[in-house]
Amino acid sequence: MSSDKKRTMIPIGPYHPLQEEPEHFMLYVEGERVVDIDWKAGYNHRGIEKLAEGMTYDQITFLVERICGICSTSHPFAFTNAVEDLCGIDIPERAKYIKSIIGELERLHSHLLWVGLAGHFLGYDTVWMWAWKYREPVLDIMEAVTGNRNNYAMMKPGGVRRDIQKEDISAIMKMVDDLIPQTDLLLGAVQDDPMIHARTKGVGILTREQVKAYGAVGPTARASGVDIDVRRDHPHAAYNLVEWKVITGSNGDVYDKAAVRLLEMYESIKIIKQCLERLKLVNGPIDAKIKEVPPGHGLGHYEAPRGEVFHYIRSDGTNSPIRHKIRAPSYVNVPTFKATCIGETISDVALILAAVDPCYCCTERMTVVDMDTGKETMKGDDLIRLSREKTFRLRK
Amino acid sequence: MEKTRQIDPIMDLKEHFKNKILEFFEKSETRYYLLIESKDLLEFVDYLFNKLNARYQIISALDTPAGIEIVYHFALDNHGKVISLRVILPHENTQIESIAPIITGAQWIEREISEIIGVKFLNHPDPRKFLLSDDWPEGIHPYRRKN
Repeated sequence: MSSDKKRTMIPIGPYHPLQEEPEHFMLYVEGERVVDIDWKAGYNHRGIEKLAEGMTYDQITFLVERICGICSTSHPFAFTNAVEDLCGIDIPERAKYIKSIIGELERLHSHLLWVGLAGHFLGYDTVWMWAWKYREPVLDIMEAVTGNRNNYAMMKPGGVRRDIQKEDISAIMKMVDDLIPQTDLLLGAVQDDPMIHARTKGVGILTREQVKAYGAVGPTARASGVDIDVRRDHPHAAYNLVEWKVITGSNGDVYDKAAVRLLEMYESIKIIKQCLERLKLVNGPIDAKIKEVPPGHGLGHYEAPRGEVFHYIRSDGTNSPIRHKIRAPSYVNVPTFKATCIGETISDVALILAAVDPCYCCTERMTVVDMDTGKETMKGDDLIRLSREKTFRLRK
Repeated sequence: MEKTRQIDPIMDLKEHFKNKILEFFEKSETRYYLLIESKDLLEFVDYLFNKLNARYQIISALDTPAGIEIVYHFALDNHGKVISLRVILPHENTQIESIAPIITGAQWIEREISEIIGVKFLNHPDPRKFLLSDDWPEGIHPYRRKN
């Protein structure tokens, strides 16, 4: 913060009509140019890490599914990896393919959502409408296979909760086949449009060194040429049983972040198709029974659409963990704004912020304390009561 | 990123810090937990991050009866392994060097841990409030266990 009168602070958030989630960016500008950026969190508490300590491992799988609406299967994926690591078990082969299929279907719909939003931010609403239209069949398939468009409840420690039926295989196959020309169309729209080039190339560059320093993950890191992907580097589920490759960019600008995501969609389709073929041949159980959870450490991670989701659990041998640490990809990707936004103009910053595909609801926490007495005035039960009261009010 | 597949980083780390590893625990072929003293932390982090090219993942903090435990997670992506450094701070003296001067990305999580669990990070470049509001009373840490 500066007393320099030339410098103006532009707040984005905490509640902003253009953003669906509460986040608070402070852009410090001199004229059109952004000279500093700061971030404040703590506007949206759900206390998930704390709640997890009072739940059983099976229940937590459903809890972490609610961390994020878009990558709703990535958190349970990473969490079940952590429990399986803690218990030292391997899951059945059929479950591995199903887990990867669900994970990749989610990546498809998440990337399509992002491409649409990015188009919208650029004022290219045709891309937005295309992308969201093509996202619908992915969600329809999810509904057919899992029963829900989001929050699929497919993962469980030791495997998956539902099988993919034979008759569903051909429907998923057809859907992903249909998605290929549609992805071609979107890729073409990005690659061939001079306006998109002008707005995104050379804008918001993140260097390889900065990726390492900030610990950035996912497409944000790969666009800068950093070749990391948890699916390949730390093999789990079916990712080492099928052929696919990690997509990287080279310039680390907004354009490369978009290109990496679009090209990744082809790889997701490749993974899904191979897994479906294997499902026709591999039979057997879809889950391994976990009898007891030993005390100790469990660490699981998964490559969510936005980057590595990280779950660490510490067990004392009872039904619930004594600590459950969750790190969503945005927690390490959002701080890179300090490197990418400074020196850019305000209009470009809106796009740079979007290019990370940030997800704010993933990491928030809060407690209410009375300033006079220093005592906590809101406990978990109070928050539940408030929530119920509001629901009743809305119902009236 | 420099490929270091030929050298086994775990052996390297064990060799380099022979006497400084209080407890070495191999949970599995891919998960390693090293208990170290807080005074050696920066040396370990520097070696892991800069020499072995480990990727900083995150820091976890727990309040246990033995003290405040801080766990630093690093991924060795070229080898498919994760190394976690564990440091236990006694309840009466919960301060430790900040690793943010080495790893910029650790700033947020250290600010978060210092608020919710009450650990003082020495030489942190930006020790302001992060999640809690600016008028939050001193000395109250929501994640600290009561007894």
